[in-house]
Amino acid sequence: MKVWVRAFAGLREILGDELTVELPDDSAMPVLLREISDHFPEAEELIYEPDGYLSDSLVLIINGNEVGTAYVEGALLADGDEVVLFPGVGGE
Amino acid sequence: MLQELERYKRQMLLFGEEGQEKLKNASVLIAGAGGLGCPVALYLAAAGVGRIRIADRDTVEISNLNRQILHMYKDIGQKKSASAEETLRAVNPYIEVEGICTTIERSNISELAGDVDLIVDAMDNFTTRYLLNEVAVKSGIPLMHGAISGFFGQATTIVPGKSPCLRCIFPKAPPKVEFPVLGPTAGVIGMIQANEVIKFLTGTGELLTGKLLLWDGTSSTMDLLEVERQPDCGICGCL
Repeated sequence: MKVWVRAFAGLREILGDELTVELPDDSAMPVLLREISDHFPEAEELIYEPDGYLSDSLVLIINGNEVGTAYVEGALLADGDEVVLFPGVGGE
Repeated sequence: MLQELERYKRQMLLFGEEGQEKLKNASVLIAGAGGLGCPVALYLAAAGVGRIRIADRDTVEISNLNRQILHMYKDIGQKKSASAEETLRAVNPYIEVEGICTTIERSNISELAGDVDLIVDAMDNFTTRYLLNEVAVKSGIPLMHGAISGFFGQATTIVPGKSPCLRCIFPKAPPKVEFPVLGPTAGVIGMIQANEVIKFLTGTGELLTGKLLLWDGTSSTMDLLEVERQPDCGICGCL
């Protein structure tokens, strides 16, 4: 299946503004995030904490619905889904 | 009085003398007199927001001057709060301006924000942002959030009880890194925040409640993401 990823802020600089990612059917969000990190190593520090856990400051949205970090593990993806990744900015 | 109203003639075409009176009677806390606080304060002063309290603990440095437009070259070494107050008074003598040199913290936030109609988040760190969010939610005071890094920026408006709070959207602060800062990025996001303040006070337009505006200066695009309240949010979940 294919999912459409839209990245913002620091992740957009690395991934570009749009990206299509091919995943095994019935993959959950962690599979997508790992796939992205494997292909774009610079994105890893914006997606994961140094201890390997998912960054709590990463905003994740699937088809317009925000997914709290506590629910990411179980967030299943389907063919054609739109996933928004936004790492947040904190300056000024 | 007539001269004062003449100043606002062009914007009163939008919301009338009644709207202008609402701005004049309003009291706003701008938390930070840096890259965001400067443009927000400048435009709110120009628009005639009656009482502006602007709080910052820092002094003006030469490296601030690419973006912190209330501070002039002559102000280097001065307290930002004093420098901002001086410029805002010069921009509009019809309003009250109070520059406060202080570190915004738990011990003084109630005093700083207790009597205002809304708070503008123009901070440079999420620790203080979360404190502003907490006070805003507990006191029922709207909070206009903005943050930037390089060419990118974000803004949202928090109306307690009606919108997600900052903790709902960002349960944890973005990593502390030394971020690049571009004046126009601060200007764009500061303008969005000032616009939100004016809309809220005059009851005009549609607010960024439940929406996170994202600015990408590299492509000059803005996106709006829908954001939702988190029922288990430790700050606003009980509202």
